[in-house]
Amino acid sequence: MSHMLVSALIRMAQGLAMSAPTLLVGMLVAGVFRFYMTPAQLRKFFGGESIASLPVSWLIGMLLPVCSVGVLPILHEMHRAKVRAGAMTAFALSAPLFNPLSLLYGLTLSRPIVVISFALCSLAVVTLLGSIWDLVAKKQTISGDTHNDAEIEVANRVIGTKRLLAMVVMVTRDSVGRTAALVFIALLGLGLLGAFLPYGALQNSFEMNDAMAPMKMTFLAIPIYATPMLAMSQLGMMFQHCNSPGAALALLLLGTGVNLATLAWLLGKYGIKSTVIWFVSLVGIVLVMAYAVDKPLILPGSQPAGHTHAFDGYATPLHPMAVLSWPLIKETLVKPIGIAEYAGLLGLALLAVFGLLMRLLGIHENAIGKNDTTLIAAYDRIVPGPVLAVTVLIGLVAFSGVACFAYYPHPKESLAEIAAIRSEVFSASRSGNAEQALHWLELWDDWSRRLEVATFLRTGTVRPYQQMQGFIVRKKMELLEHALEEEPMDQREVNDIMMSLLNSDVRWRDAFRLE
Amino acid sequence: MMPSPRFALSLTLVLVSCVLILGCSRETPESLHETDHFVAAHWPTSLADAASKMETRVVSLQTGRDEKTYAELCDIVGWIPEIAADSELSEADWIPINEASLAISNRLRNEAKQAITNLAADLQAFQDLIVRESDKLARTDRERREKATSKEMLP
Repeated sequence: MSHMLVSALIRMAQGLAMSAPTLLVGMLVAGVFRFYMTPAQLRKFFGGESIASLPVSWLIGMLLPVCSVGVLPILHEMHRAKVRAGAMTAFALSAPLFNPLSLLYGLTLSRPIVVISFALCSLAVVTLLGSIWDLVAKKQTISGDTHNDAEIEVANRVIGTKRLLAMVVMVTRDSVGRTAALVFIALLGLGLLGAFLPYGALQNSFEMNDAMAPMKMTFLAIPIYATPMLAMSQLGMMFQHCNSPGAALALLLLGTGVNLATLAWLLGKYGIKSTVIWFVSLVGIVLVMAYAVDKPLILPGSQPAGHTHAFDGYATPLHPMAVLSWPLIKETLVKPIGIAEYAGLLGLALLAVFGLLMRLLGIHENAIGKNDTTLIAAYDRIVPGPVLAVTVLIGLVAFSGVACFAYYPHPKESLAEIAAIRSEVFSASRSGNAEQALHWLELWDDWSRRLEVATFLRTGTVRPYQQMQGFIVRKKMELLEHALEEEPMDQREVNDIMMSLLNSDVRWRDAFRLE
Repeated sequence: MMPSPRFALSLTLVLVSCVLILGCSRETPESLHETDHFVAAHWPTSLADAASKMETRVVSLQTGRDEKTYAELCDIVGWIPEIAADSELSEADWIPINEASLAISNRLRNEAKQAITNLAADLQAFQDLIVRESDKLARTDRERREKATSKEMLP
């Protein structure tokens, strides 16, 4: 029992850390929508009542770097502004699926056509589901805290630093309010899986020729919460191990696109009947598409590896025989957490502290500057709210673009980083230090992907030969991982694989170096 | 705003059932990396081996249709680019092999019924290309070894 509870808590804490950066972005965008745009302007921004509203919302979603948790505060603002229901669905589903960072990563994972097909499938899903949802929501009396336009206009009237302050107050209060509750519900899905799915249980569940694989993934993906980058790296492992492409699509659309909090939010706003229609339609559309792409997207010459570690992160993280201790829990907990997640957690913690303070002191965003007249000097120019809002949104997208270049540095820098990592793997493997070698191997794998994306980003292509060399290097890395994990470890086998890996590594580096 | 207890209970039950169906079908592994990579019995060990395995299957298929042999031929044709890339073959030499493999794989898939008779010439040309490249590799390797030996013999 304690194993299950600890496993659930570990998975939920990891989920919180993963969501932190994109959740912060989501809360910022929600604040911008509330204070810098009037409801009418927001409706217009998402395509208004025109037929273009679904693809426009899909495109805005694709550009903003948020996850399925970070999208919830934005959805709340869209709902307040009475944005068309179909457009909300289109945005809610597409925003978490891709962002510039993950799209680039995805394009180098397999044939670009696979990720482009996935993106087009997501457009088809949001268009179909959006149209169904428009019909359902029209018949529905919207419940909950919808406000009329005039009421919201009041909140938007403040300008200048007071508006900024009001936005900050709203975001901080929200971080310990409604959004915090929704985050908890979303993470509950991960906790549930971590508690009940046995250790390593999903390694053989999604094989390429398994007719049930897309179906199994569709149901597994419902409680999953995955960030766009995590889902992309899992798709990468699925392609590497030749798992079912249909299952990969289901993971992307449902695992990344929705979570339990999405359902809870819909339930709260639209009631059980509409939510069931929405959910059943979504699952139905995803299943049809997953089975439609399952065979055509199989790569010629694919050799299934027989298993994958892509989904180990959704099963229980602790072996049932493991003795629970704080060092073990700490080590398991922090394993997938990187600098960006720590920074995000710090940001969330700060917001939460200030949010609690605001709530204790009874400071509300709507009260800021309400009965105040802002003094405007002769030289002041009032910049319209929507201009500021669009500037912030364009800034976010531009920031994502810059982040791409920082996260995927020049191939020369990636190669230098890989050289250092390789020597660590080599010395740890030769000296029989399996734990150290495994740690560095994981980094090597990550940098091998980054090298490919960096090349794609700067040259617009990764040649088939480069892709093939990358595939071989990663395949051998995994063989080395297996050899290092064996108990007792066979040092001769480790050395043989290491030598073979080093030979492939030379060819792989030459393929990228000799441009 | 929040889900009703009945909805939460039904959702939890559905999810737990899914989780149990997916998760309880196998024994707990000792470690996450316990499962070895599956290697097919007809996986070629080298380019020369690939050419020979291809030839055996083409000959067998010309005498009569056998689904297993046909599937193995498709596999081998698809694997050849990987085998070739994992050798000392240069990128320039690898490209024609990859392109031929992709083209033949497509035809084997799309023209499944008449493929062998229609593709006999293409398969033969592909096999010749592989044998040629394999010989080239062996020659380069021999020359390199000879060079190393003559260097060692120098005073």
